[in-house]
Amino acid sequence: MQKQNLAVMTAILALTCANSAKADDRELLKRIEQLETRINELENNQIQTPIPTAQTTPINSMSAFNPYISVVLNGAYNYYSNKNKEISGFQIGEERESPDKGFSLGESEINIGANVDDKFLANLTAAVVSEDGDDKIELEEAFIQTIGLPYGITATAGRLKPVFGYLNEKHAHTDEFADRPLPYRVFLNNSYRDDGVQASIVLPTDFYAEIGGGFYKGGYFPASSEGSGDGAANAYIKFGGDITDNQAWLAGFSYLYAKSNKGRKSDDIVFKGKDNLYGLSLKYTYAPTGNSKETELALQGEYLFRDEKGKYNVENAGFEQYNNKSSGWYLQGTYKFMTNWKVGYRYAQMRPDDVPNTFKDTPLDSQGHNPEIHSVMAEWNNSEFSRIRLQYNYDKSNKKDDNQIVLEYTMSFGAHGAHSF
Amino acid sequence: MKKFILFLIMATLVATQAFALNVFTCEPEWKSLTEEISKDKADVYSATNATQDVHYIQAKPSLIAKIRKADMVVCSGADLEIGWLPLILRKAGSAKVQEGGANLIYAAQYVQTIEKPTRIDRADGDVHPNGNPHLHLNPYNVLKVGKVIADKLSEIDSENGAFYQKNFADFSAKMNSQIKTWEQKALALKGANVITNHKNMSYLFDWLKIKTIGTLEPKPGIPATSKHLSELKDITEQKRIAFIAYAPFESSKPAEWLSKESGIKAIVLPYTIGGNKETNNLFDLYQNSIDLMLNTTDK
Repeated sequence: MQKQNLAVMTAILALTCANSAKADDRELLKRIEQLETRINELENNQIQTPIPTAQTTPINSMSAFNPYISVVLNGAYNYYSNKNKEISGFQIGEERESPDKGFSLGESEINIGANVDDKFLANLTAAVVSEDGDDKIELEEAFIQTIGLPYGITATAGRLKPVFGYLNEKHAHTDEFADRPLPYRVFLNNSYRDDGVQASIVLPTDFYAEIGGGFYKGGYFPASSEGSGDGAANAYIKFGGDITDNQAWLAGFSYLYAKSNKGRKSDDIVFKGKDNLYGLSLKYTYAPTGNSKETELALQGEYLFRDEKGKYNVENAGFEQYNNKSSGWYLQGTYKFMTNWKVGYRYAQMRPDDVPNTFKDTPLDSQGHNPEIHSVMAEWNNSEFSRIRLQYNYDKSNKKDDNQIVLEYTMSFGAHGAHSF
Repeated sequence: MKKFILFLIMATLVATQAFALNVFTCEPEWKSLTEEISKDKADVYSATNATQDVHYIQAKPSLIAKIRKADMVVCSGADLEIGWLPLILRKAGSAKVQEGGANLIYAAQYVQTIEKPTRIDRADGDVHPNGNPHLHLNPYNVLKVGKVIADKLSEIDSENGAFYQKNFADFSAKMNSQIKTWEQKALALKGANVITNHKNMSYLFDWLKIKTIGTLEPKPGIPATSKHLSELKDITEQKRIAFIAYAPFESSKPAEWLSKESGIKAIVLPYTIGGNKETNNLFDLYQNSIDLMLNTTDK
């Protein structure tokens, strides 16, 4: 009985359902049509809500905070016609020592960096260098820097390359030539780096204006030799802007003070005293088609002047006073005539001072010779990450002429490098 | 003297109020879009122009000075400006705009990017891990970014919030009606096969259902080689290609060579605002691009 009742009930229910469905048929179709048009409308104007790009959410985010890493490898084949690497009239640091004849590995540079938090970023650059058969790790840079302080102020602390002239703060692999120009080799041992603090302010002007300076331990050339440290300081001002859409310029005036009471040593020469170094730099670029990727002319020149007061000790002959004023300059032009190809020419010259009689016929005595180098280079870049360069130097750093040929590769991989000006 | 100083302060106040906002944009398309929304209420600057390949810009001093004064930054993102934007942001040391900060808008974050590589390897050229960054050539994307710009402007300069929203609504209405016209017009191009120099027109073709059969560059960022061009020539013999397209800042040589060899028309599409004489705003950009493409199919 119960079963029968249930069956009847179900039948009635099914019937009513079917009936009402029939009655609502038109209503339903109408509704579907409405929905379809609404979907179409939405598809056509999908502007209401911005869709953030899909993000993968790993279970463990430890690796998500990995810093960016980039590596630059450099290698060369060198040829010299003259073994003498002296630069007439000057004491020079270790870096000026050119690589041996034949195959050599240049600096292999590893750069690691990241934002520490919302107020600081950190950067570490280490270079692996081969010197006299030994592989050494040199800490080129290890600094922290502020992000977004008011008034355009930025402060940097740690091991850094203080701003001096155009080239000092730049990494060697971004240079247009295989070697640093003479004045940098003589006055700054290629590039002055030290431990300290530097601050700068970018002014809120329509053209670019930056003022900065800092204080350092003074533990590297041109201050005291490795480690000791008697203090150094720098100050600079930079201006720049565009002339038209395809011409840009940058000018700078910089000052470096370096004290070496404990002694600046290199080979057979020791210096104790003070260096006042002044630099004037200018850079100009012009892209004839407006697109610097395709063609670009770049001119760059610097003038460095050193006022030095102190005592020199050459080959253990004893310290003797030698206050001297010397200068050096270079001018270079590079032309990218096709996307992948670039050629360049550079001339560099030094003006040493006259030595007193006590230093006659020592390496400090230029004997009236002004060191100079003519360089020409051609390079091919397969992409912005790889470069092969051929350079010829007619080197008259000392009285004996030297014909030098360098064939080198520079490759960078990892994080995308910056196109600095 | 006191009066003079007071006058100076007043004068600077008035001077700085003439333009309430400084907006730095990386590309002309974002400058144009921002100006549609801000009208005269902001001073909008574009870091690049149509003759430049945006990826290869150097961190010029002028850019550092401009971004230093900016209240807001609008760029494409997806690594398009990776070579220079992070550097100028760092050098300018501005407190208002910083990487990851709220006032820096990356358009790519608000649209669905296409052509995301499945393999991140530079052996494949200068690949963009976050997808194709040339996203402004699809007007639907521009509308999405426009909404974000309007909201950000309203947030920074809330006094004129209603003004910005109204301008965007007007722009959006006009753009939506134009889109319908363009889509109708471009039906003739649907399904056409084309060759481009670099994949910087993909969003335009994706929108209008045009197929990119090949690129003149063998790999992204690697200039055309004769070997690759002759391979492309073989493809043109097998398939019907409607046209070869390249941007104003790209070399015409590879496109002209292939055009001469295959008899297929090569055209310079404006790519962005100022890409040719006719392209002065975003409406012109789509209009002119479609007109130029249609011209190649009329015989």
